[in-house]
Amino acid sequence: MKTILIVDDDQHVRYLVKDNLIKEGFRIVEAADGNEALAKLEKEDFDLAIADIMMPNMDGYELTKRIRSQYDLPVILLTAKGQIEDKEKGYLLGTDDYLVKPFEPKELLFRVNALLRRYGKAAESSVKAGPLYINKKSYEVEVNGRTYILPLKEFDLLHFLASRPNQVFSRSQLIENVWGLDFEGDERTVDVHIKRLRARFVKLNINVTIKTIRGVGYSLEVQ
Amino acid sequence: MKTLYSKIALTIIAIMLVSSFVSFFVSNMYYQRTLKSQNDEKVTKLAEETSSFLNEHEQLNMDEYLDHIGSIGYQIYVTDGARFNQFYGADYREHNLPAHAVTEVLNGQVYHGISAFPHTTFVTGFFANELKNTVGIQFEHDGTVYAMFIRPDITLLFSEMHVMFAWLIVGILVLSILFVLISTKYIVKPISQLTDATAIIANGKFGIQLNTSRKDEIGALSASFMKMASKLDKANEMRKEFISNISHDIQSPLSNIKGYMNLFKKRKLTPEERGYIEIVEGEVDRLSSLTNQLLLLSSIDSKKDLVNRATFDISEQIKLVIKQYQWHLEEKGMMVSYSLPPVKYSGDPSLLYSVWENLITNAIKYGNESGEISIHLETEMDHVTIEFQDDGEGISEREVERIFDRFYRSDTSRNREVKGTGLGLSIAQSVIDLHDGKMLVQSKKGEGTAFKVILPQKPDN
Repeated sequence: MKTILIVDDDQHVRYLVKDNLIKEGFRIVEAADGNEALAKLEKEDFDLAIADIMMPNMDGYELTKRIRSQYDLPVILLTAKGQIEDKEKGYLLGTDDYLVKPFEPKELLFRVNALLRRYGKAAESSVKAGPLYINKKSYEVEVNGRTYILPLKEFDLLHFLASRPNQVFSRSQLIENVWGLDFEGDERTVDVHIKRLRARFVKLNINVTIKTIRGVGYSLEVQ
Repeated sequence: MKTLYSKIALTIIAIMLVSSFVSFFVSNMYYQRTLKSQNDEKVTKLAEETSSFLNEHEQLNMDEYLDHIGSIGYQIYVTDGARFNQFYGADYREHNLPAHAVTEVLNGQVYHGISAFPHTTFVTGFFANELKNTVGIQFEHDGTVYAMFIRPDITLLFSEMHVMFAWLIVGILVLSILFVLISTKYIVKPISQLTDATAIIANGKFGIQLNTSRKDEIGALSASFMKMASKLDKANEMRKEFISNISHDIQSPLSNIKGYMNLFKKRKLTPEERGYIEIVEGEVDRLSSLTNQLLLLSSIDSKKDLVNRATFDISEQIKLVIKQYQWHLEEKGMMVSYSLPPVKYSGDPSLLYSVWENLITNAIKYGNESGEISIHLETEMDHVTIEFQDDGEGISEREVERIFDRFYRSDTSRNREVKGTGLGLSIAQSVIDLHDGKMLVQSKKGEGTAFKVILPQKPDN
């Protein structure tokens, strides 16, 4: 179970974040300011920290700086300070992500998951398939000098297929590898995503195609 | 050239010339009023001396004697009123003795030509080498009555003085003009430095350093100028902090309202109750973006010039915006494609950031589900072009004209779920105007909309 540290002087915000994350299966530890957060960090290991900026005693910027220098831990700044200067300062001090209040709980979850994924698999390989360069670290695809940011599942699907070109995968294999075992949707989901990827490829006009192997599944081919 | 330097220099030179003219005029007046008669008296005494000498020494050779007097610095004209007309010493420039003068002098009167010499502006009379500018007196020699007209030979007596005075005057003029030119430069230089400093401040850089070591008014001006600059800096910082704080203080409670409404929504609710909560959530979103945009507007509308100018990379900024909106893109299954080569640009970073934010939210809002947003950036010699293209419904020509109006929203009647304040594009337009740029819209119904921003590249100063 992943443990997340929430640092905010507003207990209502802490409760809100905690409630949303606990439902997603995270363990939560709370801290009311930077000093308390550092004390908690010394006691146990965390997988991620979510911190406010405007806090008494030690603010979020200082906390981010301290975490950066002492721990290998992704940080999300969750704050009502939405100016570009604030964001820049946050990124400069080493935060990994920046979310402005009011936030969608779903967006927070998305960002938490994205960060955890990136941190866990730093060594995961990037793949080249024809003119496509699929960068797993930045979740970007580069084609002929242009960068493409795909929706996550489309990216994962493309990455999976492109890492094993010409190999045929059944729909259930794809679901297992891309969506995970606990995915509740049906195999139609795979078809929808393949269709979208193809539509995007058509516009790119490249020699990479995803073939349908009747009765079996899909495979990615580079001519 | 209408520089302060030339103005001051010319003024001082003009003052010098005018004052020399005036003082010449005044001293001339003084000569005419007072000195002329004194001079006349002096010469009269001299003439009397000469005539009485001639009168008393009958055996004297008049010709030799007068020749001698002439050679030591006098100009003399002697006549008996008939055949005898003799000049001694240097000749007169003009022989313009009035006819009655000779008769009068022969009759025993004294002719005061020097004090009667007419007033003219530029001629003092002192130097006028004319026959009428003399003193006439009668004397008798060898039984004949003569009239003698005499004046000192100024040219002979004062020729070295003349040269000296000429040098003096020329020296005074040339040197003082030279020094005026140099000293004016010295006076004007700090003022030009101040002018440069104001230009720097106008560009939003407040950390200027001026030479305040001078103990005069300009030194004081420089010092108070620097004080003003630091106060402006502080005021600007305070304004920014104020905006940031207001925004923070409004957004924090809104965030909690939204969050708790969200928690509430997860309970078992009737569709009616769920609907109410969604309305509250929507209104909170609207209030939140309205707050942001009004604060932005307040800082734009009061400005004619960019205060917070800085050089930054537009591409990096747009990439940051894309990153910030990744979840919204994910929600709609949208792909973003971009080619963003690094480009240095000098402008207001936070205002331009709000433009990209606005363009990307619009593209997400009006683009198709699982569609594509493509972002192009091109740099040319003197401008940068940034284009945001979506593949949504597009806007009709009639609507295109109105989308930059404040509080106008496209498709409000049909598309209730499209949220927004209607301020975004109007703000973006104002920001682009502030940068002397242009915003163009190209849209085709059914094919999508492209917003093109053209920003002129100005040399960073």
